[in-house]
Amino acid sequence: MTDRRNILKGMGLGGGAMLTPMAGLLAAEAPSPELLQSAAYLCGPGGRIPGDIPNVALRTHAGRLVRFREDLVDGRVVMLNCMSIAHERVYPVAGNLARVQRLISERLSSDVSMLSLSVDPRNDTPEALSDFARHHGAGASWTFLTGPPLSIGAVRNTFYNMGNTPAAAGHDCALGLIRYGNAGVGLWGAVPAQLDAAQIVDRLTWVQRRDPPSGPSKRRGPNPRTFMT
Amino acid sequence: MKRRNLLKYGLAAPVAAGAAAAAARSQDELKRYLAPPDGFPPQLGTPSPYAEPFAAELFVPPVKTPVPLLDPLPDPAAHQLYEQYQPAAFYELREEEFLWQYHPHPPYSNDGGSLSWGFDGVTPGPIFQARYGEPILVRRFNDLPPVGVSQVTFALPSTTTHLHNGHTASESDGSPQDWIDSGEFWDHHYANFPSGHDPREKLTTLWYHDHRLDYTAANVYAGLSGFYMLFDEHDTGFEDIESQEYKTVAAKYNYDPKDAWCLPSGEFDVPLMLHDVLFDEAGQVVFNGFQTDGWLGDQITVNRRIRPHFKVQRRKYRFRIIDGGPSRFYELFLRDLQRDALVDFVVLSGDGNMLPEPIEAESIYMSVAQRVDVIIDFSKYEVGDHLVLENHLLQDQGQGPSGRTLDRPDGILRFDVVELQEVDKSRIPATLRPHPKIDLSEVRQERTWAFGYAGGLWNINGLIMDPNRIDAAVEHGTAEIWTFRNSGNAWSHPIHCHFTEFMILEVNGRPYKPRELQTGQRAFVEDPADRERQKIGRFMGGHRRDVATLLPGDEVKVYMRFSDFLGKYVMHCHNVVHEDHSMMIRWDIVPPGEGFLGSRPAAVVYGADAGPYQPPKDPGAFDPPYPDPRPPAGPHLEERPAQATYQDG
Ligand SMILES: [Cu+2]
Repeated sequence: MTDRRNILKGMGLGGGAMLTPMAGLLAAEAPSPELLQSAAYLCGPGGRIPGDIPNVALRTHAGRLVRFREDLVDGRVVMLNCMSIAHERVYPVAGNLARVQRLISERLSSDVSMLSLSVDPRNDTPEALSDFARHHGAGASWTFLTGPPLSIGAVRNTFYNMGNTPAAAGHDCALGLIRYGNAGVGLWGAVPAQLDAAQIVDRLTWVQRRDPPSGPSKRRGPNPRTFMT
Repeated sequence: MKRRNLLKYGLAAPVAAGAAAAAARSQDELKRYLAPPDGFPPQLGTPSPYAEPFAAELFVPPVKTPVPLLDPLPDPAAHQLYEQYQPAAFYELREEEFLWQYHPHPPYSNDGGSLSWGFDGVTPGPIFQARYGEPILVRRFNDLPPVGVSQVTFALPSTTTHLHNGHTASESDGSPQDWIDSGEFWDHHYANFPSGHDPREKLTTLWYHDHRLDYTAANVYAGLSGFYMLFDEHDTGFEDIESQEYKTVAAKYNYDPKDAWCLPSGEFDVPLMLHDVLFDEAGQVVFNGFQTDGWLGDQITVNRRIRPHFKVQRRKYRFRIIDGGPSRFYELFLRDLQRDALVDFVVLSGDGNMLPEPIEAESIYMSVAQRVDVIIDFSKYEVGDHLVLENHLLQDQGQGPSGRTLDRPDGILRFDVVELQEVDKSRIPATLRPHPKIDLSEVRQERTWAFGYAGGLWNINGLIMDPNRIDAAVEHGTAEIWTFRNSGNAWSHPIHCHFTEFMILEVNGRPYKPRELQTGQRAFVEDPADRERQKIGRFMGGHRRDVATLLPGDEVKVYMRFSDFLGKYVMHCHNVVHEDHSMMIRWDIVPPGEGFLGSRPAAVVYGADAGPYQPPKDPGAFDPPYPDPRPPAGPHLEERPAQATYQDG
């Protein structure tokens, strides 16, 4: 089970990196409420079912303590990307997400929960994320999240499962890839974060519930222009 | 083992050092930090329920039969070369959700089986038996329940069916963006003529499978794949030229009996599609779309039955083996259980391309989407004997095989020998089909494609799939040289290009000779002086292919020709999980003089009015009135004169 090594690294608990939270904890520094809640959830009786979306505790950019699955995901159409304010400088995504947010309000009748999860919680405090969110015009449905590495790692390792490869551990947190889906249905997809915003919003429509078609089947194509469109 | 790993990674030491400080806490609470959740097992950490090997019977899909009429009629103006290749037969194929019996025992047999998708109620879908010179039109209906109603929740009930690797017009190719939603249909016109009308370009074993943008892996895994066979005057579909069936077909198509190869046919011509599937404890199919490296199952299915058995008469059979993916590679061997000895295959074709001559091979190496036709002669065995098709290749990661061999071979199909019913009139011909010539004077462009990884995405030259962007414009009537380069040293990519087969020019910088066969790191050169049937170790597809298997660090240079049609196509990794995580490019065939290197938006290339396709507001908008008052569509392209200069290696 080489996976465990990746998980530990992914959570910031592997190798040398794990010394920090552990040392902090053992130095009798009070663990944060989100760490305690998440640890209790992840390690409690029964644990979690592999592949299930973890209900870990995280902190929003507004400073609110939330449970990831229950408060942000369950029953909704969701977009999730991993980010950090520092990484945004080398791999800008937030501007595109702002366009996505605008198109969602123009094109979709129902709401989409946009989640941007920081993988740099040391620097991306709720206050810093709040500034960042304001800068990009984040509305009520766009939530930036931070929290203890344990909680962030649990979400990351669920949504960005890179198998068992050592290369996938550590810093590869798929900052170029948005996961999106309809949690009410259990249907999930992926889309590059830098793809044209309109194409990203198209995908959100794909996973929305639809009524069964009525009447005879309709011709979708081809049409005389199909070969070049 | 958990404890041991924690020690290994240095976790235990600081804990011990801080034990005094921690003593104030309850043991229980500390344990929470010491034992992180076991919630992230490797993919196969939760194996499928046991399924007794060889208990299931092999499923052989039915042969698809045509319908007399399509209502509404197809739109001739929507298809290139429609008037020249008017369909001689029409088919209706329906994508449906149903329960499928992967195995006859519980839990697989509980509650009617596993929720599945397929065509006409079966998976793999019905077999198309098509013939060169006989164009057909297949109307595919998406009768899947829509999102929120479908019980196969991991896949997207929006589909586009690609005929791999048909020489098909763009609009019928099943492009990733040409999808249909529930309650819609699409017409696929298969002209069934060889590329450039060159008989050496003919293909034999093809397969159709879903190609939906971003959801190919999930949709194919759910069951959307099937077989398409192409016959001609050599590979006639009949082993007995004295039979009335053969004579009828021969008369209709002007076949000369002397041309007939008489390969094992009919019930003795059996397609075998391999898909590896993971199941939950209730016997339902499991898929995790959050897995980016590739998806593996631990139950190898053959035609969607787990490790089945198949009764074979004491005679020759032709098997058409297809690696249906999504991500698993195989190295197949055949074992005679009585003598516990490995038996050679007689190989006829690689990726649907007949070899110049049949060869004997000890094993068949297949990356995803590869096809190999083989002949196995069971006449040497006794009634009651068993032979087993085995996989020897270890793959425990989605990104590719480990390069190691399984400790214990994995038997995936058992042949049970029974008595011969009628005389076996089939033959194995000494020669098959010569490969097309490589004409370097036709080459107008060389392109290099590097397959890489960044930011959680698989990419090609750093590009991620955008269906509205053209990453290569190829000129109609020309040839190009493409180099496929694996940028990674830890992952494998089976690279597939639509529309046209390629001839391999070089593997890892070493020229590939016309009579050479790739057998992994080694290459085997046939000796033309030896007229015995050639024997090699590992068969990897041969010289002419449509899948270039890039193992770690590999580079393959190929020659390909582009003729007959215009429009959009794709090239992609056929580890379909990689494809869905953007390892795909769109390339277009454009009129001569309009080709380009690099990427341009499709809307710029085709003009402002060629915006993204919108479904019609009026569902009947594209239905032509009957009879159609418009003049017939003219030929889109003129035939290209044959070239005279050939390089013969
Ligand atoms: Cu790949």
